[in-house]
Amino acid sequence: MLNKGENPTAQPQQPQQADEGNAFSYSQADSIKEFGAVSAPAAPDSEIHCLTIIGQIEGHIMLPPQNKTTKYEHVIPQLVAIEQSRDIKGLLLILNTVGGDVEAGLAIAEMISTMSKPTVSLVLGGGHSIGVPLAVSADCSFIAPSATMTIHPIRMTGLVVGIPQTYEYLNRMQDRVVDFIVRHSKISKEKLNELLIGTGGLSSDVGTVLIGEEAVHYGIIDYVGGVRDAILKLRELISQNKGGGLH
Amino acid sequence: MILHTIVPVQYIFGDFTAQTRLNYRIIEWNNIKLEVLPAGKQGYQINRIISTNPFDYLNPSLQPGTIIRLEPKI
Repeated sequence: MLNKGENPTAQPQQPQQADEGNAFSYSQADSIKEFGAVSAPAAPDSEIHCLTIIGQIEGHIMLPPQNKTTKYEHVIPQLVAIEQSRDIKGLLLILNTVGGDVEAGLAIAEMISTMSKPTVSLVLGGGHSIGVPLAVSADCSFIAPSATMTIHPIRMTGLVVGIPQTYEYLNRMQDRVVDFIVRHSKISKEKLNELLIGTGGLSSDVGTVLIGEEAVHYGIIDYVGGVRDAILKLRELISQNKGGGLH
Repeated sequence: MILHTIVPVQYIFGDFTAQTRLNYRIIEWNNIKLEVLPAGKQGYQINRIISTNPFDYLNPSLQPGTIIRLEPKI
């Protein structure tokens, strides 16, 4: 990565270099043939970095290729880099996830909730199951009016030993998720447990589907809004954070 | 492992044999993680960008579909 000081002199020369004798629309692609000799145009530095969590959250087990996944081994180092960077001032978390691995989801949520930089999350489309702790992990959360969040209990698949301890184990695993949501949002544990075991909302499971404003009504999400509101809020938090944090 | 998801397990782990398994690889190019598909000798076609810098997605040389060549540098 270029140093800030080098940018003004390096930038004007690079586009000319790349365009020489190239009618091909992706002129840069040809220049990359000499990989190693030609550097890509220096991308402008963004104060706000954007982490998109899409599809399934993939944790300890690789999912078959028909699943779109966000992998924790990609996300966690990125979060460490954002936390350490001097140039990045805030993080926008965009969620469109169907859920996934509990451990990976909670790991990412804990990382985001313990960052010193301002974070804002925006739920678009869906932020289901383990996407709920991720949505509430940011300093401030938004949900699009049409977005949905499904609140439902965790379950085990595969071979399950039918003993009382299994039930106890499952309860404790559920509590990890519930406690995280309660710690980072305005919903009470009683109300959340009520939503978890709600009937009539889902065809083949217990739980509740919250659409847009309903998630705000129950206190899980802070505001209904879109990308503009989320970025405005993030900029506001960044201006308040000036001088604070690690740098 | 506990999967907490709204997607039924048979959709996640079901064997969709009709689908060809594409040989995606994840490489790092100029400090940017890219999910690529091998395209010929030393060539890789970009499928998606894995980056938190939103401006990486505007970089014309990283648009999905672009073929990049990785040649050994001596």
